[in-house]
Amino acid sequence: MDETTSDDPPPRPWDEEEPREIEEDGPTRVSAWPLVVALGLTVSEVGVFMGVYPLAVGGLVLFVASVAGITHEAGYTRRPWRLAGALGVVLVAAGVWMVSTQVPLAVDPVVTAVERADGIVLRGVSVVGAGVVSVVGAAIVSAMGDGTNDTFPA
Amino acid sequence: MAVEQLALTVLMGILLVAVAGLVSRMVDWRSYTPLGGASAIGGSGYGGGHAEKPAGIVRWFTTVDHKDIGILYGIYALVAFFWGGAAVLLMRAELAAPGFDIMEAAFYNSLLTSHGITMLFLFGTPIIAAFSNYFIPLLIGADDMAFPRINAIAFWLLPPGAILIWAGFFTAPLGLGIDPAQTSWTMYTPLSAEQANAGVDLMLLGLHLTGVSATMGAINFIATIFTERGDDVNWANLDIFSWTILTQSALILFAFPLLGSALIMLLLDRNFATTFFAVEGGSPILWQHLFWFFGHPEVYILVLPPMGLVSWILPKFSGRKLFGFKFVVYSTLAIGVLSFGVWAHHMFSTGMDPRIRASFMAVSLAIAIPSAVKTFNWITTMWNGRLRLTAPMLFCIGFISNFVIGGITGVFLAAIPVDLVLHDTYYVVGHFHYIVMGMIAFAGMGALYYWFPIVTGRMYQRTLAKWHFWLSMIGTNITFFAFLVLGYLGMPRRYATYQFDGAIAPLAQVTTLHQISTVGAFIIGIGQVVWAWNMVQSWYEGPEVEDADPWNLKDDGMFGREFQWFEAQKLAADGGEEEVATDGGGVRPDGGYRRAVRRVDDE
Repeated sequence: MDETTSDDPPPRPWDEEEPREIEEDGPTRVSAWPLVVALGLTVSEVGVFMGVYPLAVGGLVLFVASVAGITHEAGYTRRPWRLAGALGVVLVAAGVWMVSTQVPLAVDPVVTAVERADGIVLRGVSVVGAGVVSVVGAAIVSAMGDGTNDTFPA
Repeated sequence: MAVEQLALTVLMGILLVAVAGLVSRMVDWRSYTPLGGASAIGGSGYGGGHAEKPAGIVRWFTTVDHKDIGILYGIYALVAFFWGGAAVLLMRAELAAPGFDIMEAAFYNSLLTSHGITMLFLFGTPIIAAFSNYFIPLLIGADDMAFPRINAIAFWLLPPGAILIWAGFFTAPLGLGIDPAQTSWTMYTPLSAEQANAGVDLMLLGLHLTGVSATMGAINFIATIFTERGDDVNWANLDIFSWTILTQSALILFAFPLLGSALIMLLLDRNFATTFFAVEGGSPILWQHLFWFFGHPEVYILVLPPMGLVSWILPKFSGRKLFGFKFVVYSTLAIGVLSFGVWAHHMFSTGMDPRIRASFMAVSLAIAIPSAVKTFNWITTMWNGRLRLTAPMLFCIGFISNFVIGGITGVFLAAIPVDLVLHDTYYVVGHFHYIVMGMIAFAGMGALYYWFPIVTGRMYQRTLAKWHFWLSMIGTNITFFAFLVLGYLGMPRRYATYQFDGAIAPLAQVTTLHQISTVGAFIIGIGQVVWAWNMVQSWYEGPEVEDADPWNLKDDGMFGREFQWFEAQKLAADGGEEEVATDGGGVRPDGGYRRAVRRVDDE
């Protein structure tokens, strides 16, 4: 089989800007992300469903970050941070929707619901929290990058 | 409570930091291949060069190579097989006498649930994925799966899924109030909706993850078989195993998302007071409809690929091509379509409309036709053939033999009047164990032996393999034939005890038959220990395969693509001049060497 097949997508502008070497010497059939994606999905599912809020927030952040990471690694996005931020926004929207199914979207009713430990509202708040962490985290890490290394591609 | 949450938060933070550290370390030594997969040197289980993979355990945690992932699936499935096997041996020990002798009903129910779910979801589906991951790309001339990373994600969802499904067994001794689920694998409502035990929720979540995994795998196989075939592989010469995997993947695509949805509905019923399956809401029967709309195709999800394995391996040791190849493919497709029209035959005794019942009976009986087409084609393939009774061949023949019994008992059960008598008895259990153990596990074992030289570069110990076969074959037939007879005597399934009133059933005979099947189960168990020893020892110490044709397939013109790939790998490893073929590349489209001997006219 030829190494480059016709199924490869057409080169994108950023591929030309930053051509990456395919080093036959180094490991090529490896990726750290799949394990992390699976872990993130599992922890967030258990966390959200069982109402274990630290797991819910951490798992969702892990999931968002790893999806952004694997998408970036596979060459579908130039920078992972914008996708991570976008997924964070989706989580915020989903969490707000969950809360809105139980109480009116105003400060007092939500605080009251949290104080009386309403399960669905708390879950919604944890999802919002995960979204906020993702958005803020993505913004901060993105700002740290200077475009010179692979760890923080700016 | 606040302290617990705080501790969990800290733990979660540590986990996140650890993951970030691991991933950033990875970046140092890995080099990017933007769309994965393609590489000039295919690293194999056999030492075809691992320059492209990191060494040691890191390789296994980070691999996206279809062959490595296939091996991971295989090891995972076999761990699950021994868990499920241990559970059932405990159950059979309990059933050796009528009363409660070595365990309480709750523990028996837990084992029953775990055995069923483990064998179907954690052994059956993954062992098939092991073969398909390793060999489909080789058989169709692809470099790798279409989505190597998705492939790895699909695998890595399974270990957490298993931990969640088994969680109750680990947490019960800790006194957390999380016990193993006692719902049986069918999770019928209202029982499963009303069992207040977080272990059930964890099991449902784990099951959901395995469903996500299966769906991701199915999408990957469909994309791979449609788009990644080599230039010389077309629909006309696509091999039979790939056809069955393609059909299976389509079934998964339609069936598993439904299971996922039904599981979420059940979780919502359990935790958030919805009433999908409540008597005053959607009704418990709704669960049965949703579950079996998934559950019956699941039977074919599990059995079609083993049928493909047998269709692939049996001809190799018969010295003849598969008889009626086209009709085997058509019957596979027919079974795939019909499998979605039979689900209510699991529900004949629920009081459903008799007219609907009759239509389901008709479709269920109709499935016997394509099944028989396959059976006759296998028998005809062997007819007048030059049979070589190697371990893989023995398992293939055992598969057909067990299918005849398992399949025909299924035809009886498809008939409403018979089913109403035998429903919920050991007859049903005997029928489907002939299928799941007698067929699915047998085909899996046969394929393990057949491809052992490719995966390990070594040969297994033939005598032990024959012991394994005969112990399995005899044990299976003793155990499950006794089940069929127990069913005729009216022994209900799922019970931990059987202290009948003598007026209902003859207790002495029932006890004897239970003891016979317990002995049979332990014979199977001993057979699997022999097999495990053989696999492990041979992998480390078995004689290295000198020739890339350990089965002498070239003599009959049956040197398949996967062995041609193996030959190319060996040549490369031996320092040959020949250019190294990528996975499945550089092989002969005609199946190699010379045409297979045909003793009947070509179709």
